[in-house]
Order: sequence, then C-alpha cells, then structure tokens
Amino acid sequence: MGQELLLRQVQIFAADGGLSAAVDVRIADGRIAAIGQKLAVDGAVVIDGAGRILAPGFVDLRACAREPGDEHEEDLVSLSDAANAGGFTAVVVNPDTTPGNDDHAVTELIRRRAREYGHCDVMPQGALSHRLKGETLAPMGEMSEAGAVCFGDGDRPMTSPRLLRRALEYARGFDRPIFTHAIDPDLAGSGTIHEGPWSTRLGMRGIPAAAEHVIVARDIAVTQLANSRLHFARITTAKSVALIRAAKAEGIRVTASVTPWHLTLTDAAMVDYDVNLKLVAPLRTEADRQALLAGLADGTIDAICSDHMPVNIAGKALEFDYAAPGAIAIQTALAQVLACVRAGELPLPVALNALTAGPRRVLQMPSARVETGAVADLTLLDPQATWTLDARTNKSKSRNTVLWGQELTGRAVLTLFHGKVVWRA
Amino acid sequence: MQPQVEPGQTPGTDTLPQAPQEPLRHLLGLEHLSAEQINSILDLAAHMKAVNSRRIKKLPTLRGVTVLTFFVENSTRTRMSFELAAKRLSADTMSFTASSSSLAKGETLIDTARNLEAMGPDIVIIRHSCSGAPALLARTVNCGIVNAGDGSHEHPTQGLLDIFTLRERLGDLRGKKVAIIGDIAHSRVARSNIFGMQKLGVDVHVAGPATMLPHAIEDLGCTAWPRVEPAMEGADAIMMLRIQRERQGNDLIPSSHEYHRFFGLDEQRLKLAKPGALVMHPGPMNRGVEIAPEVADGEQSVILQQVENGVAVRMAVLYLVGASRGLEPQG
Repeated sequence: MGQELLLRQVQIFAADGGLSAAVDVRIADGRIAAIGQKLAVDGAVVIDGAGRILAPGFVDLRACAREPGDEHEEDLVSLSDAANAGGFTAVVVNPDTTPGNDDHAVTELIRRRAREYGHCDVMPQGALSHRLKGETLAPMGEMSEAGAVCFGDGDRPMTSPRLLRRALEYARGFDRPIFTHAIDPDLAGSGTIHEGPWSTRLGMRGIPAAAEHVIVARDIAVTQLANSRLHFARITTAKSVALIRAAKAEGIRVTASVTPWHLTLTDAAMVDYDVNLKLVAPLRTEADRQALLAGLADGTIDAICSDHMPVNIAGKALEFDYAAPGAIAIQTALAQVLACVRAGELPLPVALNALTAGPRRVLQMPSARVETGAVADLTLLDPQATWTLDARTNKSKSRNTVLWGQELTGRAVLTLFHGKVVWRA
Repeated sequence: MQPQVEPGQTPGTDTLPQAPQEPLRHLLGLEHLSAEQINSILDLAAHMKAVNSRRIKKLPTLRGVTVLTFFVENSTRTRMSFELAAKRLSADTMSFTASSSSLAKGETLIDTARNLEAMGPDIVIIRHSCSGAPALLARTVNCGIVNAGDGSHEHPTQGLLDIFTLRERLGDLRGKKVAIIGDIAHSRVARSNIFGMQKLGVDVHVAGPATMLPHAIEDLGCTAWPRVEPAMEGADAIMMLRIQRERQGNDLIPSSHEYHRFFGLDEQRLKLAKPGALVMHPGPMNRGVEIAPEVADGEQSVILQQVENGVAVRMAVLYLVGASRGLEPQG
C-alpha cells in the first residue's frame, strides 16, 4: 500500500508522557514497520524529523462538519483536510446538522462520505433524542451499529434530567458515553458573554458561570444515579473543574474536555465586540482559565477539543447579538495549546496527552502508541514552526476566527492516516 | 481650525474654543475619552448654547457636510435633537430608520451601512438596540461615527449633556455626589454617566433593586446600593432613569406600583438629598413610576434644561468630529 516513508531522527511522544531520544521510524503498508537507529532508506521517502515530535494522530472530541445540510460552511472533505492540517486523524462530529443525526441513515451517510475520502476517521456523535428535541430517546442501538461513538444533542442544553438519566442508562447497553453541553438555558437567559465586569462595562447580557456548574453538578448526580458514563463536552469555569475533580475522586464516571479558546483567552478579549469570539460556551475569567489549565495538568480534564464551528460570513457580518456563535479551530488548536506550553502554563506532555491519549480514553478507544506494528495514524509536529492562517493555508470552507492573518507558532508538518500522507506542510 | 462666522449674521465676538489635542474621529462612548477631551467638548457646547439663544441660530461650520442619522431603534427625540444640531451647523441631513429585527432578517447591518456609505455621508449618527453596533460600523465604513445609544452600552451625548447640565449648575464637579437610580443593568445612560462623571471627579452612586444592578458594577468605580436612600442621602443631584414599561413583564420588579413605593423619587425622598439638589431625568418619563409628577415639575427639576443642552452638546460633538476629519470650510 503506497509509498514507504522513513522519518529521520524524530522524538517519539510516548504514552507515559515522555519524549524519546531521536530515532528513525519506518512506515510501510499502513503500519509502523520499524523503529531504530540508522534505518536503511530502501526506496522510502525520507522526511527529516530533527527537532520534531512524532505523536499518535490527534483525536478531536468536538467539531461541526456542517454536512449534511450546510455544506457551504464545511463538509466532510474540507473538515478532514482541516483536521489533517491540524494534526488530527480522528474527529467526533456533532449531530446538530440538517437533518440532524438522530437516525442510522444519517450516521451511515456521514461514515460513508468520510470513508470514501479516506483522510480521517470521522466518528459521529449520534443524537440523544429524537429530532434533538430533548423529549424522547433517539435510536441509539441502530446508530451505534452504524458507527456512532457517543450520544448527545450537540449544543442543545439537556433540559430534562429525567431524559438524561434514561439516555445514560440506555447507552450502557451499547457501551457509549453521553456527551453534554452543560448550560442551564433558563439561568443563561439571552446572555451572550460571561457575566462579569466585562459584560457590565460593555453593556452585554451575561451568562453567569453558575449557569454552567449548576448543570455540571446536576449531571454528575444523574450519572451516578444511572451508573453510566458522561462526558462534559466543553467546560469553562473553575467551579466545574472542582465539581468534576470531586466526582472523579468519588469514582463517578465523568470526563471532560476544554477548548483552546478557554485555555488561552478570557472575557477581557470581548472589548472589541469581535463576533469571532462569540462562542457557544463563553470565554470566562482569568481565574477560570487558570483552573482549566490546572485541571488539565492534574487529569481532571481529559481532553482538549477544538470545538470547531465553521460559520459563513453572512452569519458573522452582523451585530454581536445576532451573529452566529462559534469559531473554526481545528487547524489552529495545536498552535493555541502550544502557546500555553511556551508560556510555561502547561507541560508539553500534558498538552499532547490531551490531544492523543486523553480523548481516546474518553471514547474507550484502544490507546494509540508509536510502536512497531501499530497502525500509522501519526502526527509529526514542529513546535517551533511559524505559519499564518490565511486564504492560502486555510483548509476550512469558513474563516471565522480571530486568529485569521496572525502568525502562529507550532504546527503539524506531516499527518499520516493509515500510513498515507494526508497532510504535509 | 477656527470655524468661520459669516459677517453680519452674529456678533463678531465669538471665536470657538480650540479643539482638543486629540482629535475626535468618532464618538463611540465616554469610557475612552480623557477628562480634557470631555471638558473641551463641554466648553465648546457652552459657546454653541450661546448661538442657540440668538435670533439666527445658525453657524456655517459644517456647510457642505452630510450628516446621516441611522436609527435602527426608535427614538424620535434623540434623532430630532441631532438633526437640529446638524442643521444649526449648516450641515445637510438625511435619515434612515429601520427596526433592527427586520434588518437582521434581511440585509445585514454591514450591507446596509455600506449602501448608505455609498451615498457619501461624512458623519453617521447611529442608534441601535445592540451593544457594540457603532464600533462595528466604525470598523466597517469610512465615516465619522457618533453613537446615539447602543443597546445597554453607552449613550455618550446623553452623558455629555447631563454632565454639561451639572457643570452649568454646580460648577466644579470634583467631590460632588450624584445618585443614578433605576435599571442600571440595562441603561446605556447610566454607563455613559458613570464613565464620564467619574473622569471629572464626581462621586457616583448607583441604586435600584439588585435585579437591576449589573454584576461587578462597582468595578467601574462607583458605589452601588440595593435601596435608593443611601444613594440619595446628601446628593448634589439625583438622576432617575426611565423604567422600561416593556420590561415590566419580566422578572426584574414585581410591579410599577411597588417600584414607585420603594425606588421612586417623591418629595419625601428628595429631602434626603442636599437642599436644592438637582433632579434629572433623561426622558421620556413615566410619571408616577420612577418619578412623582410634583418632583418632575418641581423647582429643583432641570429636566427640560437637559433637553435644551442636548442640542448644544450635539452641535459641539458634530463640530469636533467634522473638524477631526478636515470637514470644516477652508478659509
């Protein structure tokens, strides 16, 4: 299968969190064929790995593919390309498409379209409820058969703890976790940014931090009741981190992820009313950001998800109140996270773990190791490489990000999916 | 920089004060203005007010300049005040009004603004129900933008006219206590006044039911109270904000009756303030809700002077924004 590759003198990111000494890695027939010193070229394409790190392909637990229904914003091909350029080889896609993924036919469509392109393992999040209305259970069994790896109603808040309980219980039989976006829509009201000094200064309606952690507390209790697995798809507040830490200590099976935005920015960034910083889960305070970093470091937070949300220009060329929320991030997530590493806020192994082993653990996927015989879903990253996200480099169909046009440091320079080069910088 | 005065039209004595060092490209809010900038606007407004008391209330300073009022939220009186100000400076005015909801459904704000820009206005005065809309416009079009009220953010010319009225009556504002009472959370008037008054040394107290006090309001430097009495006590001026009738259906207050009893300004509560304290209101008033009729019409009320001063302050603002863009007539 295809061209053989020889990666020269790469440092391997090991599952225990350390970096190996520089070694050569040979890729053949979709797998890692050999790891060692001074491996023979033998007709392989040689790629210089000096100063670069070879890690298992990144797994993103939350991205919007916009297919089916909004292919002008993104589709499964452009999402695969953007994911690969960001170092990802597997992506969980949200069910809130048009139509929503609440049926095995839609799940199959997504799987088939992604497989036909064959650049990325696209793993659908099946809807938890019929039509994502939060009223009755969606057919999780059939969607599991069709390839759904988890269930949730995307960005829709779970207003019924009773339905959540039933979903958690039902999903146990199919060994799938439930993904939730923790927000109390009643308490959040019509808020658009974090309720705090900045919402007051800017005259914006606020979403109090409590609107998130009242639901985190509730959902932890419901998860314990249902004796099942729940994943908080993106948490933003210090109190949520503390609640999840305590729940894990108690043995309750909850996991959590955080987005690069919440690790790098606070609500102070709202000062210019930039619509690209209008996110479904708002940017919080510096104390929250620090708590999220600490939560990653101590394992309370399992994963970093890109929360990639492509929005067409027409959805963003509006007043802040009317603009659609979300930002594209799957291609920049690594650079954003590495900014924390460079600032000394996050150890590099923690950051890489949250992009590789952490998300796999959430989905109970086999742990990925860079070892002989392993399937070659790999990311070669250069933490020092500088690049700019612009019309030339952007792989998404949308461009809704504050990082547009900015120079970024750190990127995937080579991404392999089943041994095939799907991205090369 | 000196605006020209046509011979014979007005007494030849008036020369407008020098514009501030820092040009006023836009007026988006008072938060980012310096005390010097605010004072220079108010000094200029004092001259404009003198013009407004003449028989011919007109200066040629913005002749040939086109001023567009772009109101994406209803407000007849603010628009009239701006249009009058523009006309008294000899500018050409045109107006565009729309409801923001219809804009949101059809053409985007940016598209509308670019269409209007293509007609060549020099200054756009925008009123919008969304906070931050003037900032968006300032980034999008190449005109001077004057914020005539954006959502719950700022209403800088209202703040300026309130401060102008205070300064006119109280002189030096340093150490003066001003109470702002009402729905602080949703009031752009409150924010502009909090930002602006504090720059001139005013001790600003805000009060209202705590449902109407936004999170961390004291971070802005003012003192906040969940009852009105401590704010009113010893105040040099009390500004009552309009209680939005459309908000009464929601959860902020039980009823307008209860609001009046506990948070309204009546003659009894007025006695808590300094003797002769000024009573202010940005209008339109709900008599019997936030303010008792006899207080609104009482001798301490300066509510109508606020309206009068509004025209002068807006003339000053339009003049300065025009001057910063080289729009005043040459020679």
